[in-house]
Amino acid sequence: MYRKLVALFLILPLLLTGCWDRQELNDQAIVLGWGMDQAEDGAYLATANLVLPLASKSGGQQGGEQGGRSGFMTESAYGRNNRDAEQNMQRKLSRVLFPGHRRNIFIGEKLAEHGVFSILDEYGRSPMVRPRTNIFVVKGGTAQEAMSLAYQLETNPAIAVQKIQEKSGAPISRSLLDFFIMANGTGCGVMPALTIVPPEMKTDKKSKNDSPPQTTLGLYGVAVFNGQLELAGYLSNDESWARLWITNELAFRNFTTIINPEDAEQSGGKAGMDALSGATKGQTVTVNVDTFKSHITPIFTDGLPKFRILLEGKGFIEENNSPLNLSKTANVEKVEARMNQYLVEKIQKVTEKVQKDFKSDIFGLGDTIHRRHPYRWKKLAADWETIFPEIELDITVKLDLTGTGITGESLLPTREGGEK
Amino acid sequence: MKISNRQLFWMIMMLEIGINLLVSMTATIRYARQDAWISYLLAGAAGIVITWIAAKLSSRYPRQTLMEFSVTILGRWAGKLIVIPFILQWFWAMSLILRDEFLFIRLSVLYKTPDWVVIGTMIGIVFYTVHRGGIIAIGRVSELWGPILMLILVLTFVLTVNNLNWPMLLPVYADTGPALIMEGALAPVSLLGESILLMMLFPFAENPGKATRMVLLLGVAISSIFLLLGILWVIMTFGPAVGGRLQFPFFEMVKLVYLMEFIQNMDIFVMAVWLVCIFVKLSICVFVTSYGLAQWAGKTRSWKKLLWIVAALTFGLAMLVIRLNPPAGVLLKGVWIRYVLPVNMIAIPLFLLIVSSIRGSRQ
Repeated sequence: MYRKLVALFLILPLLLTGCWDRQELNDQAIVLGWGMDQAEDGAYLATANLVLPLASKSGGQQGGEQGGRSGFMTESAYGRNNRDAEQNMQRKLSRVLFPGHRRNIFIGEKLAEHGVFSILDEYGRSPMVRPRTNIFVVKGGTAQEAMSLAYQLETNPAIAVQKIQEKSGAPISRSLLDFFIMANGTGCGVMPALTIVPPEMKTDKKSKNDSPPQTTLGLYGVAVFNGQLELAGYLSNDESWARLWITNELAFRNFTTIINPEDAEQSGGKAGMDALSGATKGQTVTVNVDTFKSHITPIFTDGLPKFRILLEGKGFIEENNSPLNLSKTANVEKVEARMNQYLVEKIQKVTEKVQKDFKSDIFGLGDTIHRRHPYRWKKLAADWETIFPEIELDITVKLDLTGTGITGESLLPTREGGEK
Repeated sequence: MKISNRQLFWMIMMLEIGINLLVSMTATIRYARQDAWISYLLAGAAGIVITWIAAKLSSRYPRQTLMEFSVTILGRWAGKLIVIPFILQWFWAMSLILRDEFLFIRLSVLYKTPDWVVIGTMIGIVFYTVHRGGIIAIGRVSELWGPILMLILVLTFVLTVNNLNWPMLLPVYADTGPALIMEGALAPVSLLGESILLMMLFPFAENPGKATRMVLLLGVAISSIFLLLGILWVIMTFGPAVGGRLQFPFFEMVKLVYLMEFIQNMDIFVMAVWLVCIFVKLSICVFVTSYGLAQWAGKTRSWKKLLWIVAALTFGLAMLVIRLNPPAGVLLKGVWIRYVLPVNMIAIPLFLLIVSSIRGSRQ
């Protein structure tokens, strides 16, 4: 009896070797990025960014181009949605599209303006794809344009933008999941936005081996979506950190501001004569902040709710081109005070823009009321879209400068107007 | 056939955790939203009470299984009739476990493999184990894999800590209220309540008694804690809205493990260990069903012959459930929660315990 059973189980694996789900690597077209654009007639144009198997073998030094060939290819097809377009695309491909490594999704600006409702479902549903996915809006362009642009540092533009996003202090590769979570909260959401940037200054290529700056992909900031999931506008890279700080997601950032040279002369700091005298010109100071914390407190008086937003940060001074002698604590405090003032102004501009122009609660203020005062939220929730642009925000920034780098005093000889 | 108390402990752990992690979370979050963890707390408490009743009942007849002591308590006819719901429950449970296993495997790894292969191989292994080693083999597998399961689960929790966002748990209670929280607790209770299988396993323990009872309660308590952590992690990762819509949120959460670039794709470990969990649970069910049926028919010795029938019947039922594809809500809520939970897990054990203690005190 047992022997028969053992024999049966030894034979079974032989029959099962032909696995149903076998998909040889040589038969797969590995999708690294996926883009969607809206075409004129309402159809969608899907673009896939595929790994070129032959090119990636050589592993050349020139990044994007290896032996004259680029390391990726893009293919496009029209369709009525993601899957339909994929099927139409397959007609042109000798290998099966394999989306298992698809970590980046691009959305053209036009499609974002029309609303992303109609295409987002697939990204959360398809079991082949990991939930950790980045999604980008291409500002002022189409997904196809952005995806066809060769990126020199990486073999593939789709990988490049993912890495840029990671290096800019935003949460790492989870923008799609965050978008889903946000859109289920107060109904608005943000996605990182890309743009195609030409070189800041044109330099000619003199010999074959020169590598002047070329048109490339860059992070623009974030695209803001309204409650209908239509594009409401953009926050630039210099503005989007404000939102990240308020929502407690910022990881690191440098801030640069101007210190009035007159302040430097006043040692000790008499009343009314400190660094806050409205400096508009002078020399720059940069602080590197790597710990961020935000405290949002809703305040209820009679009319609309108000918010007190306290933003804290810890960092050190990384660059000082002002005459301030940083070996004196009072001067570090001056930098701190000036920096706080600068940041508050900056953040206020951003919140105003978001409230008045976009009318989208991307700071999660509604969610804060919902969490802290759930019973009051029940009355506010329905009209939040009209309330949000009107509410008052009281923003305070408290920066804590813990160091001045390797030196206190500058290594440069004392500058004009500076302290001895 | 004897198993040690320690083996029994691990068997209960594997029995309680596997399917519960997979299927109960979505159902709970749908009702109790961000308060789902309160539901799980309640469910854990209720699970312990159910286990306590069943264990108390069993320890009054330490040498008899449910099939035997029901006759001792109620007499021949009533005793045989009252256990019929349990036999139905086991067949129902086995086909559901196999169906959920198939759905999950189909969705995550084997997209094209036919259903009968996925189910057939599982039943084949289970049949081999139970036929060859009976309860002893199941005990040993649990003792070997139980700690590994714990380790993998702990590792999962640790590696996903950086995804957690505790404000997602707020507001507590305000959005839901007692009715929704209780309703959310039904799914996990109904699965934790499967610990009543211990009424069939109790006499197999080496020295069935007070220590065995403690071990059983401990098993249910610890698995409830793991499930509680699981739901907390899921809500803090996805929030109630997304978490309540994902089909298998716990496993989606595992897919999010992303640490230092190279620690990724943890899901394959979890899936492997989870499959062992399902295997243990199915083996226990298959063993208990064939052994119980044999005892019910009065021919305990020939339980291995009945094993053939049980395995074949389970395969057929599971295929039927897959082919008919009834909505998951009907399977879990319509039958399991509505009938099995109140009747099999609460009413019958409680009734038997009361009758038994009245008769006991009279004698």
